[in-house]
Amino acid sequence: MFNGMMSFFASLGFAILFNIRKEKMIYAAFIGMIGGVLYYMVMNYGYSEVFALFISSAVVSLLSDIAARVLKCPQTTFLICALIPLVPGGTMYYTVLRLVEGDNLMALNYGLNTIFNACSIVIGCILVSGIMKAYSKIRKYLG
Amino acid sequence: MDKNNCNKLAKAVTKAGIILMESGAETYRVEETMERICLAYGASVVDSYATPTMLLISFSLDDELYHNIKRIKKIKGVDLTKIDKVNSLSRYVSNNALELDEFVNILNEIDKEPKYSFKMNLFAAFICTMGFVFFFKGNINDMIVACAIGVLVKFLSVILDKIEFSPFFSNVFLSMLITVCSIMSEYIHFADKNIVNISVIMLLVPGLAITNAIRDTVNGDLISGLTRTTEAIFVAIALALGSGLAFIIMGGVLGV
Repeated sequence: MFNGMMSFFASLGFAILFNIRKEKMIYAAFIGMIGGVLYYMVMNYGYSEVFALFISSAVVSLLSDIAARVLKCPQTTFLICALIPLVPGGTMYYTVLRLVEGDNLMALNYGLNTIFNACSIVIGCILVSGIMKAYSKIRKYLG
Repeated sequence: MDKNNCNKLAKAVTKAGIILMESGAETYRVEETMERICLAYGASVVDSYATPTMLLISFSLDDELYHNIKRIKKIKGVDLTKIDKVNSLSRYVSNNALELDEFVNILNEIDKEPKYSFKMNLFAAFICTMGFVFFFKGNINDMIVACAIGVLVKFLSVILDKIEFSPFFSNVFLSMLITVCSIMSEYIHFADKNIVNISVIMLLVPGLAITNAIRDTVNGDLISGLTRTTEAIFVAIALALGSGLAFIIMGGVLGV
């Protein structure tokens, strides 16, 4: 839980590096924190890392879409900063480490893990953006 | 509008597109914004095409066809505020009347807007690595080492960017530096090399390129998606190469 909360600072740092201003920066960091906390919570319930990443990336993109609609600015502003803590940098690093150590089997294991994790994040995002697009079309259609 | 103004419009639209693309907007947003501005100034049959390396716009006004092509040489730093501002400016233009000259002036102002200062960037790198260390379950010792390296890496990366060092090799060099420092810190039994390494390398991971690559591909902008995927993969390769080299060299030197 505490570890998850710390993704607030990670997102905040990136928000500054990507030059977001004032209160939007805090929103972006906050959404990032929710993503991080969810990631650890789902893992704690005994689900796999892939599923945890899927859930948290879906929630992060849903929240950033809502924030974008409320604050009237592009969704990218929030999504990018909030997603960065979830990027599977850890497994990517271990892949290289094992490769250098000559342990090809473990490297393959970590490599596959990285790809699965990345894919689950992608699917979470795509799912939400698809649903949100359909939702706004339907709302327009109904008047 | 007379011919002079139409040419001015073509230039202004591509200017807006360039600002968006250089600040790291998604392709569909760039195309949509360019079309929206053209339509707002009374053009018809507007077609726009954007990739991370080129912009095309063509529209007809008063039975005359105008077009403009711009080559984008390099992606400047990511700047989400600029994207936000250009986007809302284009929305404002399509709902309210705004003189073309005024529009160009506002665009130029947005383009010149300053980013956060150098010191603020270093501070951001500090916060960022601190967050990542605790996110990856590190302790205080790891944090001290990681933050020091993180600030150093940000400092060097800004300098390397300024002297236009090749981006690929600057990534190799920086990730090598990170790994060497982290192995040293484990060698003196101060911090865990894996946690330090992961947290600092996150600063260099091409998060924006990856996210945009996926969103472009899903939105049907396949060429932009491929371009950005290639960009992301090459950064990842550079990082892996740097860290791998550092492991091999330090393994020989320290015998770890």
